[in-house]
Amino acid sequence: MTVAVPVWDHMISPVLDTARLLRIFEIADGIPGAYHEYPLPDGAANKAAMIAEHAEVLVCGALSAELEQALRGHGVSVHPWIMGEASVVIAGFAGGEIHSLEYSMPGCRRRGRRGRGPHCARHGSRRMNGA
Amino acid sequence: MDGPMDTRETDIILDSITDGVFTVGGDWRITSFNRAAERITGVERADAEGQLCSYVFRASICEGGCALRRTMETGEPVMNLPIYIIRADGRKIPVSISTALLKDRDGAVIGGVETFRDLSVEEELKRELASRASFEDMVSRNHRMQELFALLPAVAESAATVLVTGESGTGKELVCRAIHSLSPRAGGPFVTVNCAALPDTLLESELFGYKAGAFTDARTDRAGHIARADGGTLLLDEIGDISPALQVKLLRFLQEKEYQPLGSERTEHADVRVLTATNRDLAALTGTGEFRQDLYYRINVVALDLPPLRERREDIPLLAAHFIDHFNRLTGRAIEGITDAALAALLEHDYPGNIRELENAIEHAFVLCRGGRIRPEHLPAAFRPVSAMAAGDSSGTIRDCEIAAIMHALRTNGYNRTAAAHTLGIHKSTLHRKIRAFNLDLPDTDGRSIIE
Repeated sequence: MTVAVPVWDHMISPVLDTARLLRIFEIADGIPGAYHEYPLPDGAANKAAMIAEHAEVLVCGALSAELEQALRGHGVSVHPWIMGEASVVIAGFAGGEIHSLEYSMPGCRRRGRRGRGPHCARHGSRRMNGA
Repeated sequence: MDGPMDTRETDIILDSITDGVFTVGGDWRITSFNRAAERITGVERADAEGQLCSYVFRASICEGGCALRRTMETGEPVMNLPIYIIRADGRKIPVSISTALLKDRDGAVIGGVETFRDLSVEEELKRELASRASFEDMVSRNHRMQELFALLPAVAESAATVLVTGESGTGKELVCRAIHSLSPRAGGPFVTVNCAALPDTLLESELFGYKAGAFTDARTDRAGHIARADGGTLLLDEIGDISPALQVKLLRFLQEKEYQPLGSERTEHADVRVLTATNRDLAALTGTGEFRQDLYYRINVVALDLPPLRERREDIPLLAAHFIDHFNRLTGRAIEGITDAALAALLEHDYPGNIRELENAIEHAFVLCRGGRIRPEHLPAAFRPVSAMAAGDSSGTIRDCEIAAIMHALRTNGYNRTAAAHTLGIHKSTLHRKIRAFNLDLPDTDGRSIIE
């Protein structure tokens, strides 16, 4: 599986719409391999097309509805609202733990309450349903 | 209230204001987050505090252009910078931000404070106003243009010939296209002929068509533009440039709706609504005999005059925004707008090329601007302003404006520091300090040897 994450310094980029660098790596048998990095273009359409060209899965921070729609239109499986150190997130994703609380952006978590916003609800589904 | 306020009192005050306010420590983690910040971002205070501000605020400038970082590094505040943030539902919320250093009672810097205002309502109002200012791909708030917009539906509905006048680049063809698209002929063809682009003999054959053998290269019959516009609208652009001989033939067509292709003895008929456009003064040309008076009166049934852009400067910001949207769509990019300084440069220009010149300037800026907002240095040289420095750029480049002002003063005073300081209205020692602080690269001469 080819996975892409936008990175800024050593962290997951906070906003994909303005992210400048994309890290691509392969996950085989739950283990992330070596990665390559590519500059990201401007504009939702260009960005989505470039990501789709390099990866099947995207793990990212915040992104606009427009960009998310463009990515899904290209068939990319999007896991948004994720934060943290890139290497830790990648390991978490490889281990199937990406939707646990520690990786979720503030506002997409639950503290015994329903989460805010339809996007967070969709992608943090276990937590949002009373878990 | 005596003595300094305690934290509780400060929280009460911060929670009562409508602007979002948050503070960060030196580690960029949120240390306070007021109620308005919760409302605008959609993130609760309990979730925000202790988190990295970029993961809470999710702003368009977090990566690579953080205003708070700039303030904490330089000590200079940022005021009213328009950006956007992304809420958890994926909506981009326009906000304007201001930043300042956070200091303790002893004046030591302990972090930063950022305030932000939700501009959603303001942006929506701007969009509403813009939609009222637009008509059939044309945008204007100018009263003369608004009067013209109001006339167009009635003009379109009629079959009258129209003469559209105005300088080059004022949008004459756009007006004609609007007339066609509003008319009962909207489903038919819209054919444009530039009468100035072709020599007269070629123009005649292009307009009326020709039969095979009509002239040396006429190997087959060819329909002219009039035939191609049958059922629709024909725009004769630059009609002031056609020869007297062709004017006669054109007059016959306008009067009788009949014409003869070159080399044909048969008279053809065409159901065509004719619009004409020119940047020349046809009334004056009738006086000199260059333009037939009977033809002038035939085409001047309805006259629409477009003002030059320098007479409708209030439209420049609107048009600039319109072209930025246009080129963003065309290029798939996301240029966010234009800085106050660049807009000031656009407003100062005289526009001999009118709207077309403004469009070209924005297109030029798109080549040089790699992201964010268009700045003065992205504009063509003819727009490069000196006075735009006085526009008070509020985009966060106050430092850039200060450097530009210093460099301009030095250049115009031959790098004489004393004279440049006098021009800037500051003491010479202040100028020297700023040259060192900004690390300006200057010629070795201090100008004293240049000024005799």
